Amino acid sequence: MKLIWVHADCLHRQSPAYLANPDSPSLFVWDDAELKRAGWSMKRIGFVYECLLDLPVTIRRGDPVIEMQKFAVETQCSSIVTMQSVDPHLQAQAAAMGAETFPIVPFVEIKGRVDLQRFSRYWCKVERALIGETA
Amino acid sequence: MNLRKDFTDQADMLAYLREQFPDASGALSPFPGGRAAADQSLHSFNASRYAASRNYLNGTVSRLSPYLRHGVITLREVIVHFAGQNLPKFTQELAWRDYWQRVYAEIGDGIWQDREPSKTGTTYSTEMPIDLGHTGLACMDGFAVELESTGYLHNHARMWMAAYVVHWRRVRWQAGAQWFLQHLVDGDPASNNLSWQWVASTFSHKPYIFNRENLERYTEGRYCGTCPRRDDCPFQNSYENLNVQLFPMQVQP
Ligand SMILES: Cc1cc2nc3c(=O)[nH]c(=O)nc-3n(C[C@H](O)[C@H](O)[C@H](O)COP(=O)(O)OP(=O)(O)OC[C@H]3O[C@@H](n4cnc5c(N)ncnc54)[C@H](O)[C@@H]3O)c2cc1C
Repeated sequence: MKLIWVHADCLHRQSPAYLANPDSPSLFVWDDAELKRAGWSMKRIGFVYECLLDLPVTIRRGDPVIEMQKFAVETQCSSIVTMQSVDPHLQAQAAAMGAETFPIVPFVEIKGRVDLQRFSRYWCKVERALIGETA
Repeated sequence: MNLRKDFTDQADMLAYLREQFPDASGALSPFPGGRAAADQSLHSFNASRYAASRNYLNGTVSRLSPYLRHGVITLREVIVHFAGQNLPKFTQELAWRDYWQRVYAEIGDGIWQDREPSKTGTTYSTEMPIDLGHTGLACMDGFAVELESTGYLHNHARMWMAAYVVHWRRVRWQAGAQWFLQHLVDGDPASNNLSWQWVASTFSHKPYIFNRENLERYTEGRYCGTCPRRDDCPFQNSYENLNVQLFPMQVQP
């Protein structure tokens, strides 16, 4: 069985990771070192915590990589899956866990490379598709 | 050890979180977490009023940002919800989030460094001013208190606050960005840092500034009338004069 790593970039009950693994256990780990570094106020912690109450997820604290490995042994899971994130810190942790990553459904599909130097250049590429959708 | 999930109410949860996270300052934000709350924001948002009113502090905005930030709801779900309603401005604002996420994916921790050289010619302090929240400027004090007590600021207030910190107080944008990230319930390294860089001019062609007239208009006079510094307002000037005053070392293109 696969174990799902839930992180703070995707607190969604219908995430592709949950949908593909409906019977799998899942874990969220409050990253103590990261919390200390970022200095999150109670407003942020409380908001995320309430979002977690909505999910069928176990909550722990510590180092996410270590806690996930321990939980995998406890739950007899042989591999880890998670959701894609653009946060390099979460990406590094996912890699350290050897997690298989599910891509997030893109807001808009862009064919080829997009120049991100300015919003206007990105907008030129996506405007038609997006405005067409809401028109 | 598993953390608790069985709370009787929010107060019970807060007491537990205070034990678990003794370093976290303050109380809970008024934004409830969870998908039901996200759906509630989605359904109560009167999107047809958005384009005309969004720049006003009292205008209609969605308040979906904390849910989008943490993936409780996705940009795709939001746009699908409004399909067929002809909302070009709202669609474009959603696209700003997508754009900043794509930039973050490309540059990673580079979001903490200047994307481009600053166009202001200013030397900055690395320390936040210690008087934020009690400067005597009713607007800026109001925004600082609102940020720290609720974890949310209207987009225009974020722009004014960031411009005040960077251009009037001459503080590096990184210090302001970090302060915002400690408090904003939608705190997102990409949207936040890159917006601060846009204000600072390290990710735009020129620094963003405002004046009293602009602030008074979009706040509909909420702060200026009773401001203790209304006769000594650092924002009371034309854009031309403010540019000269704030950026004396600026090299004109
Ligand atoms: C200095 C500064 C810091 C900011 N920090 C953050 C941050 O940490 N997290 C964050 O989500 N937004 C940030 N923003 C962008 C913007 O202010 C907020 O997304 C918006 O105010 C949230 O309120 P809303 O959900 O009612 O927005 P709405 O106006 O209803 O817009 C709907 C959604 O579109 C997206 N959006 C709208 N405007 C922007 C924008 N300018 N940039 C990026 N996305 C946008 C948000 O996801 C928002 O929820 C910042 C802006 C500035 C100027």
